[in-house]
Amino acid sequence: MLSDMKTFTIRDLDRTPRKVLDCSLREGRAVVRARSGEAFLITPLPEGEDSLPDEELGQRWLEDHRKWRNSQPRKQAPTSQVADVDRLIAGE
Amino acid sequence: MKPYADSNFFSRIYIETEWTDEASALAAGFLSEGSRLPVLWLHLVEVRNAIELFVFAGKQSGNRVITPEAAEVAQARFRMDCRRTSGPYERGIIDMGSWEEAAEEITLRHSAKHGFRTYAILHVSAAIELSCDTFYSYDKKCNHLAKLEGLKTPLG
Repeated sequence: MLSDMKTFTIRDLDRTPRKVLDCSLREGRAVVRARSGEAFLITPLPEGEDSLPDEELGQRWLEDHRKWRNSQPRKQAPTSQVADVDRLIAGE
Repeated sequence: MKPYADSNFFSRIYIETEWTDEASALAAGFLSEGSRLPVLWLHLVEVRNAIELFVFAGKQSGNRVITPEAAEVAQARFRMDCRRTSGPYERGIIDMGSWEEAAEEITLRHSAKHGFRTYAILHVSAAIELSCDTFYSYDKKCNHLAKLEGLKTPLG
């Protein structure tokens, strides 16, 4: 809920941006609210992801995905079940 | 290359199957080349449903490989990948009116002759509307329709 988050003003963002960004890093998000009532959510990107070139993003995602798969029970769905699901979502 | 994948491609990334290595590597490869797979509301509905249907299919066949807990974890992973800005997907923006027109044209061109399902019509017309040139699917009929519409189909 927005009301649970630390809220800053546009003036805060202008004069003390570090405070706003530090709060975003510490709490995962910070809200900046304008006088007009508009609210903006500031959230940090996962470490390093914003500056990586696409090639590395692909490798990083694949590695991350592999780790996730390895943390799961590696039971493979039988081909017949995959075919059943394919038919069901395709409306057959 | 501008890739498009249908829902059975995505579901293979999150449920362990014989195609999971291939589909995951392809998604990562697109990202490495600077492309991202578009995700539409249609994918969100179908992929989430597909993950749950693996639980159902296991119950029906008496071979419960995908447990409800595994499905829940897969759902969370898919949701996270759809939200992350540095991941292999991007939210596809498509005009509903143009999509409907494209789907209608494709239907009138091919369905009476080949008997295509709505699933194939919707995904191929979406790929065309999003100006994608390459169509990734593990569904023969989808690939057939995509080819007829001039898209490249590396998986079929």
